[in-house]
Amino acid sequence: MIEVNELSKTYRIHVKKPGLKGAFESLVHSRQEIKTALDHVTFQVREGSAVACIGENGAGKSTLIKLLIGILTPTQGSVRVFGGDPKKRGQEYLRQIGVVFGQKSGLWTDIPVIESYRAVQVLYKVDKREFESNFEKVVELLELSPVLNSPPRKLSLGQRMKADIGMVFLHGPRLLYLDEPTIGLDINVKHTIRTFLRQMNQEKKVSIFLTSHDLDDIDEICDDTIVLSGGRLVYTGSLNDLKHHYVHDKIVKVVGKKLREIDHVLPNVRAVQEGRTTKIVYRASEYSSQRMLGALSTCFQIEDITIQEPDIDEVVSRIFDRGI
Amino acid sequence: MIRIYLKMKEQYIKTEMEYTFNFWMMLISGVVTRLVAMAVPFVIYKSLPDIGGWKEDEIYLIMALLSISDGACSVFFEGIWKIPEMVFHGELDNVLSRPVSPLFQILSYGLGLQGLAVLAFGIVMLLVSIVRLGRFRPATLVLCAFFVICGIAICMSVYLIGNSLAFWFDTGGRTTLPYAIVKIGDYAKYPSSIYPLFMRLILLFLIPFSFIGEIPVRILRGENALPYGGGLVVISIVFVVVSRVFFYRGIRKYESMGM
Amino acid sequence: MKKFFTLTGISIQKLMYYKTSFFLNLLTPFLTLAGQFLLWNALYGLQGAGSIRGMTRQEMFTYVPIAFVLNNLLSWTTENALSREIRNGTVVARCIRPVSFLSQAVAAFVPSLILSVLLRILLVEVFSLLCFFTTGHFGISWTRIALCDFFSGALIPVSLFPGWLARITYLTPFPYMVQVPAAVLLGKELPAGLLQTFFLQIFWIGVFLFVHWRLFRRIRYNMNIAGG
Repeated sequence: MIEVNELSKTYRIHVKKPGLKGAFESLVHSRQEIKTALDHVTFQVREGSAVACIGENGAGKSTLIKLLIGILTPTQGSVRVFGGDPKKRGQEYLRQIGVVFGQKSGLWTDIPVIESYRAVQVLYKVDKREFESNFEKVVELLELSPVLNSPPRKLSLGQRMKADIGMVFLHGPRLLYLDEPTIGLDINVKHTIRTFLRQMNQEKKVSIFLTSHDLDDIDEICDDTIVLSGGRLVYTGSLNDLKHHYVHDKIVKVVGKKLREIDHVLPNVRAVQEGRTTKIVYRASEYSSQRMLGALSTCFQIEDITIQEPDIDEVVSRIFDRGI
Repeated sequence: MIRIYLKMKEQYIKTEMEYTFNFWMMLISGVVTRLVAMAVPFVIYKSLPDIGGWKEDEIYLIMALLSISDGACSVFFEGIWKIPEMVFHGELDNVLSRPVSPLFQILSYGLGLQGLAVLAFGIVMLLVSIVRLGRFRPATLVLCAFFVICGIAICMSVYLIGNSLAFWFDTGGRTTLPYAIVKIGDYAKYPSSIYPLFMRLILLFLIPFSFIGEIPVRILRGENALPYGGGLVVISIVFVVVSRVFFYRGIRKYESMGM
Repeated sequence: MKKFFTLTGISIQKLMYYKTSFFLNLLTPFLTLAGQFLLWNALYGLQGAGSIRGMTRQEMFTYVPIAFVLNNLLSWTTENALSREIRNGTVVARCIRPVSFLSQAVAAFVPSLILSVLLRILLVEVFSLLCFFTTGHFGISWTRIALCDFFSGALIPVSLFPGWLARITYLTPFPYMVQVPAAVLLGKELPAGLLQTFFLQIFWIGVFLFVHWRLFRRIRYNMNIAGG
């Protein structure tokens, strides 16, 4: 469904110097720098999948998604969605996709949400019955009834995001692009949205391509990942594979008085003190949980203990460290 | 399409009316600004019998035509003035992702309330001036309708070009550029014959506001009706086309530059 | 004092960040100025030589730039900045800064102690404060500018006004911002004696200071209740 080949995007930006003196200098001449947002990225996405594009700030995620939508032109390389060039962006293509930008609302400002929704029906030429059914589903699953009659200005961020996401399903798109959809939201709203998106992907076979900073987004919604760093594609594959390849460690968090240094008892173990908690990282293959627990009880007066896998933050940062 | 455009406008008015004070304040400001603009030639005429052979009521007629065009543009095309803001904040992304012409979307955004007052004021001034000039005939009114249509086309085009400059010049999302252009166009309320050549050329062919007010009044006076009339039509069409091209060039630039 | 300069510095930086905007903000008033010159040149030219209501061409050509300078010592953007901040809610930052609200406004412009300029600043500030109480920001702003431009003599010298209009005008504070100081500089006669005019300017400043103080207290009070 999506085919990206050697895709690159570079910008020229003006560099301004800080401070009052710098401001005067910038007036007369400013330096230009070349910034590479994407560097020869290649990957494919199958129809029906839910893909997450993750990476640190500035890794090129937003640029990639805009290139896929077709509102940005590549500097090099090619993009193909549904077999065609999104740049040509006929109304055909645009009607089959939906876009949600986390930081900018797709709702029309100053008019009530429901009017924006009605506008979608007309603008996307949606069949009345299909629209009504989509509308009801969206309102129910995203709990939008209290929100429908207000203009976006009066809504909280969470409500507005839900309204935005609801809006984008009304015309029954094949493929959804979401750029940081859960940014800044509280945990309840995030959960509602993630469940909704997952459901749409599984039941209605709507393909999802989302970028996010929040790795729980990926966990709950997506199966496949694309990892970008510094404009380069660093990893692509399923989430489970990701964990398998990079998750070899376990983490133990112990709260309690230290009796002995842990690395006297078990070598090859990293211990970090965080307040009253000692965080210990070790290779899962080296020590069984039983052995670890035994060792720990001789080193600590254990008040509380947790054993877990590293969160994906660690995984991703490890990928960035290691490269491809 | 028209249906949805009108529906949007209706929505905007409804929302604006919720803020009653703002609503009336905008209307008042529309009237006050026009009154003040009118007051300047008013004061001048107290001291001078005429300006370049133009009577007081003729100047008011010019101003009426300008008001009607500007008012109508504020009511129907206010979205144009949001372009710099949208470019700056990257809000065009949403617009471009929809299967609807971006120009249409932008034109249907928003409604300049003050335009309602300016429009009404202009219409009143038009009728009053025509009566006082002794030209109140059906033929005149028909001609005026024609002038107004051309005037709105020219006005909209100039506003669109001015605001589209935001695609090339970074003004932090503010409308300083088109505002400067409008300020120059202000001088078109006086007959361009009083200005030196370069100013005349600007007001006729670069920021053709002289074609909105002055040329129509000349036609009514009977001066060179046909060539002037033809010129009016040509300028209107040319500018509409140019503004559209300009805007879409701007969009292309936006697409190659990202935000 | 140092605080003033820091704030002024920051304001200037903000203005200059957008090159085009900065140059344009500088240029636009000059365009209007040029237009005025063209206009009056034409008007006087058509007259023949002579004067219009007691102002010769020379005098008019001196008046126009003076009025221009006085009128433009305050830029349009600052008033809008406050209005925008209110809409965005970022105005709270202004209130938190350890400098009085009013002083911040003063520090944002190149400080000037000419009475007319002070008066002008006060006038704008008071109107801006009204924005706290209502939603009509643009409407208030545009109306104020229109009234101000006209009655202050910035658009056309008040001395050209017909008697009845001039009398009304001098009852308002507006002409004291442009027409009066310009007339003083030109050596033209004033509607009242010099001393009296001077006192009237101070009077109006006092009025606006008072109004500002009361409005500000009200705003503080409301903010405390509404929680910002």
